[in-house]
Amino acid sequence: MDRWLGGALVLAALLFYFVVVPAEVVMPRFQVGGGVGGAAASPLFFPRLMAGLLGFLGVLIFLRGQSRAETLHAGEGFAFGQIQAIRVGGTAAILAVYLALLDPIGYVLLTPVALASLSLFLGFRRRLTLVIVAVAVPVTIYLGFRFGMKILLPEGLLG
Amino acid sequence: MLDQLAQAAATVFGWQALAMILVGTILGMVVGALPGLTATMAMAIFSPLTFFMPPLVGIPFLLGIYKGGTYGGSISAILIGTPGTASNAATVMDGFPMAQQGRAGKAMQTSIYASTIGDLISNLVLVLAAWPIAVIALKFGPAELFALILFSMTIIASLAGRSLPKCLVSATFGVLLAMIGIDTISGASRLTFGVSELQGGISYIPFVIGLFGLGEIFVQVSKRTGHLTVVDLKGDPAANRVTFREILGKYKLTVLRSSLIGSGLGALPGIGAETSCWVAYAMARRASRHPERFGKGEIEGVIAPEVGNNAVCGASMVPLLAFGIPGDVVTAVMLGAFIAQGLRPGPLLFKENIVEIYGIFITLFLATLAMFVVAKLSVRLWVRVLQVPAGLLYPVVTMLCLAGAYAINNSLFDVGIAIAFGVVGYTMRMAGFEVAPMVLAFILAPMLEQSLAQSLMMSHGNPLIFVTRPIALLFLVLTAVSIALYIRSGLRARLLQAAEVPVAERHGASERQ
Repeated sequence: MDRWLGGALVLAALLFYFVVVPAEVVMPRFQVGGGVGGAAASPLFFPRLMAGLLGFLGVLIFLRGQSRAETLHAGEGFAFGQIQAIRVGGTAAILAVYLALLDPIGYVLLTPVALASLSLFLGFRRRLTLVIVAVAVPVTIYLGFRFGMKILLPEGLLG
Repeated sequence: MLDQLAQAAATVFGWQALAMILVGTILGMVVGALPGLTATMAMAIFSPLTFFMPPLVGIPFLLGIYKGGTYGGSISAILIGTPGTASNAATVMDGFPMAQQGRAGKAMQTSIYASTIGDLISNLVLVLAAWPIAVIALKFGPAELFALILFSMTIIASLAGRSLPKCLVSATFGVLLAMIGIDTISGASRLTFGVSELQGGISYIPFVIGLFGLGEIFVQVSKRTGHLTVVDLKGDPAANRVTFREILGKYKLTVLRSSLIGSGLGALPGIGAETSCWVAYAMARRASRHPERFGKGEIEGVIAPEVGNNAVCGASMVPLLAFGIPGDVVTAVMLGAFIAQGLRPGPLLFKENIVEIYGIFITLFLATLAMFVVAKLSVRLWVRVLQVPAGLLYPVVTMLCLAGAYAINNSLFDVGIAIAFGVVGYTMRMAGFEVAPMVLAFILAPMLEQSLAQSLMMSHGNPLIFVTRPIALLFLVLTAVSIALYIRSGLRARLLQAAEVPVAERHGASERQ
């Protein structure tokens, strides 16, 4: 796995240095002197330096590459199977949908649904407790934000 | 001076500050006690709340979380054998066996006393050390600051788990993320990819909430944890009795040694309570007349790590307050809260915000008192708190994370940032990358870049400015020595590993035969 990772980092570093930095760093008219000092103070300096470092580290990781099994044996990272993929992917998907619908539907209406969906998805089955918590927590947060901090959370359909 | 002290005391002894210290301490303890939730995470989630409070109400709240969280991890370490935070990992070694032997009450009380003593000593270290260091720091110009930050960045290597290159990759991405937005020196727009919300850079708090809050929740979610099995607190009252005097009398050497270890390591950038608890534990075991009792329910095995980890709390704020440089992730989060309050940690804080400095010093002691009182009163409640089902707890914390991310700029984009970095944080942990180097690099990189540019402007582009100024040169030499030491220890570890493999192979071969 580390060999793949090292290779990917080297590719990313090259792409970053030669494509992203020239396109995404808009140079100013003002420059600090010339020579080494001027180059180091340029807004290009750190992005380029980091791209170089990333490439170097990629080579290092590639050369030290271990197999996935050895990596896990050494205590780095943790296993990622189908169950983990479903649980993490599902949670992330619920959060993504929540983010997309928060503005049109509103915090007070959407958050109880999102909280309850997440709890049910994670295996919590005590319905009454779930309903109480799913309503009480978002309402408390909403009121705390509105009256305590004067922050209006998205009102959506209730606005 | 007395006027300012009185002014600070009047604020922090006001009901608002006292209430927030108490709330922060309770919150910190709950979060610290629940495995998977950390004090750093709680500080990240709740720091947006402090932006709407006066500085001497908001910062005490965060200090309460920090101290409560550092102690709170010992509760689950003792009652369920799983440390609530990494800072309490060593407490499991003897705390959990004590609980299994029917001495859970004694272990809990010991942990309270030990944490309180460690915390008090650490507060004293901060109060006594920060001011003189800040006076020296006032003489620093951009060149000295650049060299100091560069030296501080080498500490990131000390956060490396088993792979230094992966730690550095994480830090490199942290620097790159910090480069996004308008460069404050030249005004150049960098790496925004045409997204207007990125012109101001990535918001720090949503970034930290994502990495530490949501990222950790994704990790916990993937583990499928239900109810935790908690050891009962009932037991023989005589076997569960312990007093402050006993700890300070019978175990004074362990207390003193562990305090020195915690405060000394805490004041060094990069080394936090996660390390100090183990060093204090190991030293206590080495100095003990009965090292064989360690790991089997020895009371000193609870005292040492608990004094050692709480002794970090105050000391870790020395580099933050004196230089404005966070030494670890907790103080990095705190730095964000300071800045949002309009306070710029560093030597000037001791000149321009003396009331706030006095207030913070007084608060540290009040937070220690709050921690002690709440811990003493709540011993029996923890069995119930630890039984909150994961399926209910994590969704609630997730919603708090998202609301906290929104609160900074009233922006859904920030909520998206938090979710995105939650996924990034999870993926990094899964692939064996440390998250902390990314956060520290994200904080330090702009300071480094700014001081570099300012130094070169002062010298008209001449880089020799860094070697002609003695303090800057000293820190550059220290940086070089620090890097050389990391390389040497890395090479030594690889040589040892290489030597072990043939032995293991030989052993395996002989077993097969």
